[in-house]
Amino acid sequence: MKPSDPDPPHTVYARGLRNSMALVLHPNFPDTGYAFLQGENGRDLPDIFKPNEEINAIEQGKHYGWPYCYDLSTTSLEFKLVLQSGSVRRTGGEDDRQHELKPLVAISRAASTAFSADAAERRRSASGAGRRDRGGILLACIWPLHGFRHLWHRQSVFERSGYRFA
Amino acid sequence: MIGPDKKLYASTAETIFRFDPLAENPRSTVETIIRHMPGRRITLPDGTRLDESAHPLKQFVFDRNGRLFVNVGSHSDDCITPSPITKPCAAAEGASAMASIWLFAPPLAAASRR
Repeated sequence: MKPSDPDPPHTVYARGLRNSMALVLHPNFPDTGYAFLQGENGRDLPDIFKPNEEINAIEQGKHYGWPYCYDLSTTSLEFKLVLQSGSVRRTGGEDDRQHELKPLVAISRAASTAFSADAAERRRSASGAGRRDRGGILLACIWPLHGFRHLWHRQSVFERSGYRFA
Repeated sequence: MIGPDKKLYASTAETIFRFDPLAENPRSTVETIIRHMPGRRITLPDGTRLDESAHPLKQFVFDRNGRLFVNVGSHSDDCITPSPITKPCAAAEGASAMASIWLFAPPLAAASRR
């Protein structure tokens, strides 16, 4: 990547992420077990407070659902035929057939929310989805009032140094 | 965003550039390092032209190895086309998929050669 190379090569690291408005890495990433978190604005349903926004633990090569599903595992009915045809890969288990990885957290647009990574870790452990955010130092804050509606929004993820899980 | 080379990095809808804010003439240090990402005006895989892609903001982050991760947001709210939809969302597929995080590597190589 240098100025004389106008189009440096890229790879698609993770997909199915509608708009990654917040990206944050643990300083030790990409060592095993250290977090890459993403804050995502979900699609716009007629109810301006739906669906929830998402925080995802990003893993290379994974698909995170957009536009085939939203919230923790709600199918976008408009894509029912695509999903039935099997042309979208399904690798999750049980009710998680569209997301390869569920969000760590689905966050209501109805109120500003802050949560700490240990809450995320508990949720993630419960889902059995992986360990990528162990050792995280991440404090994520989301102001989930979604943009391009009548209320402006921005979501951000902040690092809080010196924080480790026991 | 401060990069691994201590320069200040910023983005437009299509580019990421850097400069040295402490230089005598910061403007003269501006270097565009990534161009031609999908910005506001794009052409979808089916040939449809959009003047205003929905999510052109290029949020980005470096990892400790100097790799650069960039948000390439989706072209629309929901990729819904006239019913029935029978194929995957084409704009979000392939090597230049939107609604993705793109990885550019290794940016440090250029910085260390300087």
